[in-house]
Amino acid sequence: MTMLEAKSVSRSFVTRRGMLDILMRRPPVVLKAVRGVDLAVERGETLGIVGESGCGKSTLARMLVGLHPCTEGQVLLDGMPMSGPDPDGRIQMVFQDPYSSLNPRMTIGALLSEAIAHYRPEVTRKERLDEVASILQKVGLPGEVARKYPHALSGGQRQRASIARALCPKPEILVADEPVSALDASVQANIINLFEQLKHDEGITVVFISHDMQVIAHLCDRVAVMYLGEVVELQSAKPLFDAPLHPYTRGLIAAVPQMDRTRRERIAMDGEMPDPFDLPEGCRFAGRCPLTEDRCAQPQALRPVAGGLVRCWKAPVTQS
Amino acid sequence: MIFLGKFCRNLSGLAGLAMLLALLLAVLLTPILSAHDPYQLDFAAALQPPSGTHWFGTDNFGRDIFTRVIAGAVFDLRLALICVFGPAAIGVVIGLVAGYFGGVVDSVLMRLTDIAWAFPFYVLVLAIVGVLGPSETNLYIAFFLVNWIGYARIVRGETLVAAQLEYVEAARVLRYGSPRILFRHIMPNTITPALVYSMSDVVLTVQAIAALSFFGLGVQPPAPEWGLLIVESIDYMREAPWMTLFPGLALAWVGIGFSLVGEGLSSALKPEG
Ligand SMILES: Nc1ncnc2c1ncn2[C@@H]1O[C@H](COP(=O)(O)OP(=O)(O)OP(=O)(O)O)[C@@H](O)[C@H]1O
Ligand SMILES: [Mg+2]
Repeated sequence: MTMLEAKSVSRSFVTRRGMLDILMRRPPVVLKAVRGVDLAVERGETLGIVGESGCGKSTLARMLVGLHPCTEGQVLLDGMPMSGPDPDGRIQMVFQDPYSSLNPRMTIGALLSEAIAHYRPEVTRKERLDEVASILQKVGLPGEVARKYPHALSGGQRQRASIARALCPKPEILVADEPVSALDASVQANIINLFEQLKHDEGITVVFISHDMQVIAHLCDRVAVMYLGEVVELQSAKPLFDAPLHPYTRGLIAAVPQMDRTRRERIAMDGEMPDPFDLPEGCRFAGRCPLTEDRCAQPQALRPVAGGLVRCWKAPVTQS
Repeated sequence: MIFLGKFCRNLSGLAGLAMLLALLLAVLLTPILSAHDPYQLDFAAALQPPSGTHWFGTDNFGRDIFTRVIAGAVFDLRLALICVFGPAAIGVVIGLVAGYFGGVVDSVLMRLTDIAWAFPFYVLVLAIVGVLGPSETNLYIAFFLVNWIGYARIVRGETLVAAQLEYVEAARVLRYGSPRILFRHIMPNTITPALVYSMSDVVLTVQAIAALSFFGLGVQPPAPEWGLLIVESIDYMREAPWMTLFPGLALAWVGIGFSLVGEGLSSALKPEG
């Protein structure tokens, strides 16, 4: 059942205009960070969103939780359009940088109590303390962390505290924006296991954003691949990693030596992403794609193929 | 309290605090230790040099200068603290609101700040005194019109930065109300520079109060205000230099004390990593 749905959402940023630009009558420069994304998050699943830096993952995540308004389109939660973050706290977010996601002037206990008191004001002080202790335990932190300030914790502990805070309103969906990319490699696995455990024990639905294909492969049921603000491929994790449909997805997988099992059709993605202010007309990936042909100069639509969606005319229409 | 420990490890802060506490102690003990009344005239004892009975000497009316300087401390500091922290509270709220909400709110508030800033302070005081006459109340009006500006600017700048941080986004995802986000999450992280600034602001304001009284624009005689004490002493500078010296020293004492405390605060209030 669909819980959270993005309906052709777009988000544009108008870059700041100086006095000189206005005097010179230069038109404002608009950057479309996310363009017409359709995405449905099913209850209980873990949906991965993957793509290179700057492709609009964080912007999309913030629209999904209601932090950013959509320039176009809308986000539906249980079929109802959202305006701003959900008042019942059903969607919570885990942020990338555990060093700036916790208020440095509040103890972890105060942060958690505050969130609990906000959603359940009837809970007594004592019950709140018990609940803080049980949430800390749930995320694998010792009870004494409640009395500590963020600066006394390690990066991994902070990220656990940040997850604990997100759990306080008893959310149904967690949107995690690169929750491990700021952490040491040795700690990353622990946090990923914590997400698995939450998914398993609490039945929480997770939208997990990462640029790390291995993390996504490990954790996610379905995967959306984004390129320059658009979804270029969307399907279940297993077929996506076994037989990627879009050349960009193949390129991302091939870039990870441990994952590139088949080694067939090795995609070398050379070149940089195009300037997001000045995008190519047709397929946005054509400039970097080794398989480019004339037909790629036409705009590509996201079309259904073999149980998934892909934005490349070359992908086989049906097989099974 | 980590903060207290850090403050105490800072020598200049500690020295400044000691100076201010010594002054406070003097204020509290003076009624017990000294038999003199700061307003009591005694022409027989006029212009006496410092001695065992009159520690700082007497003025041309025979009033005891020590008790007048101490009474001046109460007078000047009460005035200065109200004229700093009253407007500071207003400025902090303006800065938080402007920095957090941005857009039109920010533009309007910042234009207001620019206008207030563009107005030269002493011209403003002269205008107020010209219309309303010199008095303590009019000093309050002048300072409240001007002293909030620095705080609004400092706090707005800090808030612009803090509002982008993820802990503020987290608070917004949790649907906390704006007052809670502003005062519980943003303010504690943006107030430090304003607090440090307020210490030097106290120094400047004490001096401005003394200067305005000196020029007859503020507090009126016979109040034991330090600026008044100095202006009354001018005609007697040759025969009775102690009349000028002690109020001057008191002004310097307070100035150095608050500056040192400000220095201590700025190093103690730095948030940890
Ligand atoms: N507030 C903003 N104002 C202007 N441009 C922005 C803003 N936020 C994001 N952008 C631009 O939008 C594009 C997408 O940014 P976004 O942060 O969503 O990417 P991302 O996929 O999360 O990248 P990363 O992996 O680096 O986090 C980028 O080109 C970025 O410069
Ligand atoms: Mg990002």
